[in-house]
Amino acid sequence: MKIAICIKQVPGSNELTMDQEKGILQREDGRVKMNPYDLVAIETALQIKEKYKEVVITSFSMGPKRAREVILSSYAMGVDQGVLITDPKFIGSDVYATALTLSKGISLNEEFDIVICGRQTTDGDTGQVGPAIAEHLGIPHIYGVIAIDKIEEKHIFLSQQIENKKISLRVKMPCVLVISKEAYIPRLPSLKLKLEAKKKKIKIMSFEDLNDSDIRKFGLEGSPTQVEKIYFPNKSKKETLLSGNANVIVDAIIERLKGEKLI
Amino acid sequence: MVSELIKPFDTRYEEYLRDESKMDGKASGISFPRTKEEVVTIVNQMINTSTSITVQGGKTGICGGAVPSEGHILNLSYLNKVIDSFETENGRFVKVEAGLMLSELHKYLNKVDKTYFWPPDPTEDSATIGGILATNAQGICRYFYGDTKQYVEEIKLIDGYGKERIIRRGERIVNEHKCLLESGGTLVVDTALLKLPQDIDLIDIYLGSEGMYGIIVEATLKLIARPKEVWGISFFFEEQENIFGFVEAFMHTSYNEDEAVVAAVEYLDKSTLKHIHVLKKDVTKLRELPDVDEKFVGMVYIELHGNQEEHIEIIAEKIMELASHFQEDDTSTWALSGFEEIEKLRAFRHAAPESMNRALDQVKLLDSRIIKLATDIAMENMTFKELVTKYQQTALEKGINIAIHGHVAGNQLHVDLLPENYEEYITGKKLVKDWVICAVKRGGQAFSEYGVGKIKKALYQLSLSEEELGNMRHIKKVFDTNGILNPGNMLD
Ligand SMILES: Cc1cc2nc3c(=O)[nH]c(=O)nc-3n(C[C@H](O)[C@H](O)[C@H](O)COP(=O)(O)OP(=O)(O)OC[C@H]3O[C@@H](n4cnc5c(N)ncnc54)[C@H](O)[C@@H]3O)c2cc1C
Repeated sequence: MKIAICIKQVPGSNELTMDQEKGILQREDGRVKMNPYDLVAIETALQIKEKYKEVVITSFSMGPKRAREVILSSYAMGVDQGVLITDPKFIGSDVYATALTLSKGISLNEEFDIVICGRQTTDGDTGQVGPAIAEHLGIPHIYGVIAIDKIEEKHIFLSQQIENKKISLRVKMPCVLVISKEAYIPRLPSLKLKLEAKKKKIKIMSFEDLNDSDIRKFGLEGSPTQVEKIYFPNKSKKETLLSGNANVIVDAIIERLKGEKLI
Repeated sequence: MVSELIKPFDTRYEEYLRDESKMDGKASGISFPRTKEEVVTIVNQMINTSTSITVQGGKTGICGGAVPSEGHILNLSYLNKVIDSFETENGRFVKVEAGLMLSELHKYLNKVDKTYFWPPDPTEDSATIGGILATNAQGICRYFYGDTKQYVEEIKLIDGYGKERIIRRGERIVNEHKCLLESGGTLVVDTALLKLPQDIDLIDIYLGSEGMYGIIVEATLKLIARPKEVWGISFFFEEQENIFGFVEAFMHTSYNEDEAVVAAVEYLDKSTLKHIHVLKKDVTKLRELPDVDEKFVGMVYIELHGNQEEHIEIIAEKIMELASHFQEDDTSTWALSGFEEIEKLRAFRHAAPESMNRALDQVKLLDSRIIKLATDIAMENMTFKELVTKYQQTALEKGINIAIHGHVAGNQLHVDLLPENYEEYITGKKLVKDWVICAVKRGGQAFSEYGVGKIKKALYQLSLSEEELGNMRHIKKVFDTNGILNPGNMLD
């Protein structure tokens, strides 16, 4: 079985400062890290590999040359091989162009049975790259996957969580799985694999390798959307004061919880 | 003005009667000064009314030093600004107010001075700089970077006369047991008796004196270049003998490679790992980490610092090779690199004392008389194995659960006693006393990191001769004749 996982390097600091005048979030700290949601995607693939025979996992990342670090990190967790799709021509890609570039990279490498993506990134936050890759590849995608229950020859059985409903699904492979953060706790890199990682090769793909000479589909030009501004949402705090004796208040709380479908 | 600053004590301030020792205190008033001038006003008012003062920083101390036994609480948490950062021919410095939290200093340096850092890093980052200097708190990287005192260039303090003093490193040195003070007076310090360096700097007498000689209001901290690369590695072991073997072999080998060094070596025993597991449910940062397999009986955390990753890798490779002789499963070792990533492993290490305090909270619910029972003895002249085994055996004989974590270098281990009821607490107290007496007899350092405060005062005094105590009382009297500063800490 062949599994592809998509991973991204994101700014390392969770500390965001606000440019008060422009209302823009800034991340001035130059540190970077693996998108934490993608760690869960890697863990999912590794758990499949531990359970089933002959599984090969390939990580894909689109980004600057420096993004090779996240491929190395994936090796340190146990991923077998990695592809870095990098070219200055890809700078400025939005969700659409990113998904197109990744899907080209994926389809040109192997015929993968499963493509696994994290739910979102900490810097883009759209949560649409996974589904968009599936669209470009012309295969189904399942969002909100919380567990891989079983894999048979042609099908994968999984659990999906949508709002407060858990759904069991049987999906025909190939497919794209978008994994929820709650699905698995990612393992930490092992020292042995981390030291071996540096010695492993990373396949590099550039625009030239994507078998598509139409540059207008990629990078800034191929991006129909543009992030104009990222800002903190206005916090609206709605407070309700419950009054009365203990019994009245308890009943009111229970009603509320039922109303919110929490109990 | 004075009346606005000084508030009579009432139930709103109850949390200020406690620190992480879980000891309860008493007070008649409280203040939260925002400037050093306000501190002077408050101190003078207290001198006039003969009211004693207990100084508080972040209240993270675990020896009850910030717990008032009477009088006024001077809480410095609002005296918390970074004043300046600057460079001289002696290096790079940052000047801060004493109530600044360590986490805020980190934030400031990350933003303004990313290439520099302040090496002392006691794991609890809600501690204040004043509290850290007052207790001479140490972090896990003391192994390589050395004592906290080395990174303090100047302190500004208010003494027991309400006077501001500036103590600059290098300006006043003890010579033949005497140190001339700027006031014209003479401080007698019997360095031989107190086991201090002959030519100790006055600033080093203040640092670690737990607020007995003055209230630190400002400090100039020495920064050094931050290593460009850091790695954190956690080794897990299935047999205790293997941990002993690994530690022994590791400590007898030099691993430095060019500029890359071993900066920290920390040990966590099985009981500590178990308590961290319990704490995990409530701490987001910990929940993101995988569970530690129950088969493991201990962990050794090693931090490597350097400027080039290749050098760090060479050290890591050598340590891995060594560990392979003692580990059953060499894929179990966690290894992370980069400041951002190793925070995960540091959070795990920090969870050791945190989980102990959480466990104490639980027992305290059953019996409020129980307070923190822990040691921080450094026993260099015993092997790591001898020390750990001694703690385990004696605790087992007395039927007391313990958890051990701490610094492998210098055998500076923290032992937390975990009594399940008051009787066990009393037994545990006796056990701690036995350990301290034994440590003093064998040339160990009985109070090496967390300070003395009120909880360990009796034991501390027991470990000193009458002459030593006499000299300390003299020093206290010179700086605080009326004994109004932090009464009940260290000395009576
Ligand atoms: C989870 C946890 C982990 C910890 N880890 C470590 C560790 O790794 N290493 C370590 O050494 N300690 C550690 N500690 C202990 C504690 O964090 C340190 O002792 C710290 O330095 C106390 O700082 P604070 O601001 O909280 O001081 P407080 O607890 O408020 O006060 C401590 C003592 O200092 C005095 N003091 C405070 N501020 C001043 C001032 N401005 N001038 C004069 N005197 C003052 C107080 O009167 C008191 O005697 C830990 C504690 C916890 C709870």
